[in-house]
Amino acid sequence: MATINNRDEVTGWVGWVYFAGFMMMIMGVFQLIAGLTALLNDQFYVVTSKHLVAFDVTTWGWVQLLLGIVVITAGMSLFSGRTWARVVGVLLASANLVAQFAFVNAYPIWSIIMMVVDVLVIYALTVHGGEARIED
Amino acid sequence: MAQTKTPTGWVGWVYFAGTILLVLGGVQIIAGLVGIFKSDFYAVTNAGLIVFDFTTWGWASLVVGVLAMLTGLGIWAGATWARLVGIFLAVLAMLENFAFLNAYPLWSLIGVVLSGLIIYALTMHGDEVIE
Repeated sequence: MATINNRDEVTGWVGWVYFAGFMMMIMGVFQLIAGLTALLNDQFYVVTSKHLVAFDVTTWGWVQLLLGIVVITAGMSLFSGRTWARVVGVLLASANLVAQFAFVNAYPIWSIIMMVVDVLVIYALTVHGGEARIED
Repeated sequence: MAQTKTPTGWVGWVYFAGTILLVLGGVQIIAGLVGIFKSDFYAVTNAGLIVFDFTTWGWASLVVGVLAMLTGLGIWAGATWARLVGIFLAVLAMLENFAFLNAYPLWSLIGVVLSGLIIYALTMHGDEVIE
C-alpha cells in the first residue's frame, strides 16, 4: 500500500462520508423493492428468466433482497467513522455495480439508477473517505 | 511541467480509479463470457457486427476484463506502472465498447462511462500519491 501524505484534519468535505451513508441506505431500500418485486410480482420485469445473463428472476430477487439488507447495514455503520466500514462500503458498492450490470436488462432504468448511486458511493468513500477518520 | 506534486485532499482519486477499474474488469468479464457462451443474448447476430464475431469479441472483452481487474489491484497496492497501464486499458476498453456497441448498447454505454471515469481520475489526479 502506498504511503499517502494525506492531511488528516477534518475538512468541510467530511460530509461526503455521511452522504455515502445515506446513499447506501437509500440504495438498500431500492434493492429491497427490486428484490420483493422479483419475488412477488415478476410480471413487472420486462424480460422473462430466459433473457437474463444468468440465474432466473426468483434467484435475482433473493440476491437483491439480501444485498439490500447488507447494504443498509453497511450504510449505517459508515456513521461510526470506522475505516473498515468504508472499506466494506467500497467493496459492496463495487460488487453491487457489477451485479446490476448483469441484471440491467430486466428493468434498465432501475439498474442504471442503482449503478449511478454505486459510483457516487465509491466516489465519496475513496476520494473523501480519509477525512472522516476518528481519533483511534 | 515543473510543478511540485503536493498531495491534495483529492489524493483518493487514485483509489477511486482502482475501484472503478475493478468494476470495469468485472463487467467486461461478464460481457465476455456472455459473448463466448451465450451470444444469443445479444441483440444482433454476427452479421450485425462491424468486425469479428461474438467469440472473438468475447475473448477480447474477457482478456481486457482480467487485465483491468489485475491493474485495479495494482493501483490499490500503490504501483506506479498500474496507473499508466490503467489509462491504457481504459482507452482500449472504451474503443472496444464503441466498436461493439450495437450488440448491446446499454452495456457498451456503461463500459464507456466507466472507462471515462478511470481516464479522468488517473490523468487528472494520478500523480498525487507518494510512493
